[in-house]
Amino acid sequence: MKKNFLTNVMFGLSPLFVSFSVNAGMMHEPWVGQVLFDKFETNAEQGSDIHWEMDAKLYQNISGFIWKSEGERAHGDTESENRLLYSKGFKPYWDWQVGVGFDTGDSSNQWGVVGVSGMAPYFFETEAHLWVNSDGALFKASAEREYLITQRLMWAPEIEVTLASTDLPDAGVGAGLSSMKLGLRLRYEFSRKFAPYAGMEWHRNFGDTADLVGSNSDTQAVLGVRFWF
Amino acid sequence: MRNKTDNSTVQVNSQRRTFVKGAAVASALAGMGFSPSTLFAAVAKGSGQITPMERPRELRGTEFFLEIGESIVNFTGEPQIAKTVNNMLPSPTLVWREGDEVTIHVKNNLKEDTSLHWHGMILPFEMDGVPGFGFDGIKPGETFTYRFKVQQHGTYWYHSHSGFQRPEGMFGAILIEPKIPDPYEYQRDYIIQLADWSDEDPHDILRHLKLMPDYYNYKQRTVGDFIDEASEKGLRRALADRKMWNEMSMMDRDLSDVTGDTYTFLMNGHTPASHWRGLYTPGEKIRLRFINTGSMTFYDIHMPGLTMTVIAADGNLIQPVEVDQLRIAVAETYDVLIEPKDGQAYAVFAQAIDRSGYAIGSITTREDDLAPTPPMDPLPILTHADMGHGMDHSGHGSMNHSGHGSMDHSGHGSMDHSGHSSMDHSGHGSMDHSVHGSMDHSAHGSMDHSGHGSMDHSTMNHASMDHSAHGSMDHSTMNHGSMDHSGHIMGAMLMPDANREVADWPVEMAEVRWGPNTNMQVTDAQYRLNDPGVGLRDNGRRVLTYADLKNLYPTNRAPKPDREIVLNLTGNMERYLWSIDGVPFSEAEPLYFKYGERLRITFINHTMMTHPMHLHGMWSEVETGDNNYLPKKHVVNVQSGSRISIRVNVDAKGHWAFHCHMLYHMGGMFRRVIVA
Repeated sequence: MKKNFLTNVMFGLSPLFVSFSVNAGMMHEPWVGQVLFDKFETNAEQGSDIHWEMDAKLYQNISGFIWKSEGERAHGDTESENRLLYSKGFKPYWDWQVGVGFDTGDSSNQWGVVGVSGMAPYFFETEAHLWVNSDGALFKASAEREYLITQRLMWAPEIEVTLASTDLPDAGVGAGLSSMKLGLRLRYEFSRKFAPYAGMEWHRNFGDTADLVGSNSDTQAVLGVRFWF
Repeated sequence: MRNKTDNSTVQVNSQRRTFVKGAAVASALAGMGFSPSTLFAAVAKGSGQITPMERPRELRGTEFFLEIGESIVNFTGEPQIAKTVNNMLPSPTLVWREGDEVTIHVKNNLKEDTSLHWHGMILPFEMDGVPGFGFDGIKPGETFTYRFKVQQHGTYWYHSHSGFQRPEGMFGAILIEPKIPDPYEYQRDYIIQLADWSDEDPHDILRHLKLMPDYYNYKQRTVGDFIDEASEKGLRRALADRKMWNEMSMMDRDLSDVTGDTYTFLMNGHTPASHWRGLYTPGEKIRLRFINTGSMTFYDIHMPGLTMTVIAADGNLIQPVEVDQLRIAVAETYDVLIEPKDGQAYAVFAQAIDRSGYAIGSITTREDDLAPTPPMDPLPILTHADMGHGMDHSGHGSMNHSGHGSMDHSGHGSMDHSGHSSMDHSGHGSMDHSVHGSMDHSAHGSMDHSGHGSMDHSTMNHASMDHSAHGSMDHSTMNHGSMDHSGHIMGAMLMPDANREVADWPVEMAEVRWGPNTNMQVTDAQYRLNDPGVGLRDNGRRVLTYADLKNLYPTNRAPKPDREIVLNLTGNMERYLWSIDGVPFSEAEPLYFKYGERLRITFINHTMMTHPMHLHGMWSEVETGDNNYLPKKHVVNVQSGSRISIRVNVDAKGHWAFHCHMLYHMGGMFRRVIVA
C-alpha cells in the first residue's frame, strides 16, 4: 500500500490533515492534484515533432486552480499557449474559469481568459473560453467524447473551433471563423493512467487565417500516448 | 449448542515497515498464493512472533487485551502492510455474554492514532470509540481501556473508526451469547465475515474516484451493447432508452464505486483461491452469521441447493423467513439457519453487487471436498425506478404516471391517484383502511374501487406502503370524502394496534442546498420495501427484502413519534461529493435530538448509489410494513432513488456519529448527533 506521491501531497495539503487521519469521515474535502497529458503525440510526417496538451490541476471540493498548456516542439523550437485559471463549480457538471493566458516561443501574447468547462449532456467534455487583450478577442471552444468499443479500447472524436473579433497576426488568426479542427483517436487503456493511441487530425483555416499562416488545411496521422499521474 | 467457530482468522507476521523492506523476506513471500499456514510458517521462524496457539482466533470472557499493530499480509501475491488487531486479519472474534460488563484494553503500537468502534452496541458514547465524539482516539504507544455493560445479544462487529484503518485490516466479529437462549436448535455456528481487500492505499482509491468516478468500473456500456440493443428492439427504442441517461450524464451500469478491479473479496479472510470451509455432519442444523465488514461492497449471497431461513438482522431476532438469496449492505449482519442433509458440499456464494468478483466458501463434510463455484448472475442494470423517476415502466402495462411530477407521499394527506389509468375500485362497502401500515400493493392487477361512498382515510398510515409493482390502478372515481371506519377493529390485531396511529406529528426538513454539489434530485421517491434491489428483481429466487423483516416480538406498545425529521441523501457522482441535504459534514450543523423523545427519521435518497445509514448508540427501528413488529437495526439501507423511514427511541445522551457506512461516502454524508 505504497501511497502515490500526489496522494501524499493531496492529503498533506488538507488543512485538517491531523483531524482527518484521526477522525474517519469527519474531514474537509481533501485537496486533489493531477497532471494529465491528454495528448502527447507526434505526427507521421514530421517524426521528430512533439505536440502536447497538458492540464495540471489542484482543487478541493468544487474549486481550485488549473494550468492548461498546449504546445509543440519542432525543429528545436518550443512554442506553447498557456492558461492559468481559477476554477469553480456553478452547476453539477460545469465550472466557470477565469485567469490569464500567455504564449511562449515566437509570440509573447498575453490574455485575460474567462470561460466555462464541464460535461454537456451525452457525455461531451466541453470547454469554451474567451481570450481578450488590447488587440482584440478570441473565442475557442472544444468538445470531446469517448465511445467504448471494449472496456479498454475507445474512440475519442473531438472538435475545436476558433473565432476572432479581428485579425490578430501575432496569434496567427484572422477575423470571424478562423479555424476548425477535427480529431479522431483510437486509444487503448493499459491502465486508466496510461493509454497509447493512434489517430487522425484534420485542420482547416478560413479567411484571413489561411493567409496569415500560409495554409488552408492539412490532414495528418498522429501517434501518441495519454497519461496522467 | 455452539461449536467453536472456525472463523479462520489469518495469523500474520507483525513486523514493521523495515521488515517488508527486507528483500529476502519480501521475495520469500512474493508469488506465494495466499495460504495462511504456509505464510505463517514462512515468516515465523526467527521473527519471534507469537504462534497461533498463543493468540487464539476467538477471544471470550470479560477482559480482553488487544494490540493494534502492523502486519504483513498477502492476498494477491504481493505482500502488503496491513493494520491489524492482535496480528490477525480479520481481527479476532470477540465472544461476550449478555449482561456481563466487558473490559477491553487496546494498546496502540502504530505510529498514528487509532480507535476501535463497537458497531451496533448500545453503550455510553465515550465508549463508542469514535474520535472526536467524547473520545480522543488512542495515541501511539498508549493504551485505552473500554468498559461497558453488554445489554444485547447477537451478531455484531467492530472496526477502527480512524482515518482509513478499517479497510487496511482492522475489522472483526463480535458474537454475544444471549441470557435467554434463542428459540432455535442448531448444532453448528459459523461466522461468515465478508470483506474487500485492496493492495492500493485507500487514500489513493479516494483520489482516483475524485479524479475519475468510473476509475474502477470496467463493466461500462460499450458501442457493441448499443448495437445489440438496437438490433433487438429497434434503433428508435434503443435511442429512447439511452435518452434519460445521456441527458442526465449518468450511467446505468454504475453499481459500485470501487470494484473487483482493485478488490480481492474475502470470506473469513480467505480469497476465492484459498476458499473458506466450514464442516458439518449431515442432518445438523447450522447457524451462519453473515457480517459485511467490507468498505464499499454490497454482496448478494446465495447457497445453490439450500434454502436459508433468516432469523436475525443486525443482531436482533426477526420472524423467520425462508429465502434463496439475500443482499447484505455494507455493515449489516444477517443470521440464517441452514440444514444440509445429504452430505454434499454447498457453496456459500457472495457475489459483489456489480458482479466484478465474489467471495466464496464451502459448507462441507470434508476439508478437501469443495463446492463448485456457481456462475455469477448477470450484471445488474439500473432502471428509471432506481433513479427515483417514477417506477420501472417496462413491466407496468397501463400505468400512467404523467401527473406525478410533484407527488409527495411523505404525509400522504394529499395523495393524488388521478392519473392512474385502469384500476376500478367500485363496490367497497365498509372498508377499513386504517391499518394500512403494511399494505402491499404489489400484486394488485385490476382493482375496482369505484363505489366508495364515504370512506375515511384519515387514519390511514401510508408510511410503509409499497406501491412498487402496481399493475393498473384507477382511483379517479374514488370518493374519499366521508367514510369513517375509525371504529373498526380488526379481529386478531394486537392491542394497541400501532398501525392505527394517526400521523399527526410535526415533520421537519431542512432546506436542501441543491447546486454544484448535487447532480440528481428525485421528485417521486417511493417506499420500495418489497424491492430486493437492482439485479435481484424477478431473478427466479426468493430474495430477502426489507418487507420481510418483522421483529420476532411485538413492538406495538412503543409510543408514536413525537416528531419527524426528513434527511435528504445527496451527492454529485461526477465530482464524487457526498452530503446530507446538500451540505457536507464539514459545513454542517449538528442534528439535535431531544433525550426521551421518539423520533421518526425519513431518508430520501437523491443519488443513484445505495446508502447504508448507520446511527450510533441508538436502535433504528425500521418501518418495514407492520408497525406492530418493527425490526431493530443499526444500519438502514436506503436504496437509490427511494425513501425509507425509521423510528428511534432517543434514549442515550451524548454525541453520536450518524453516517453512510460506505467508506468513501463518509467524508460528506455524515452528521454529528447531539442528544441532550
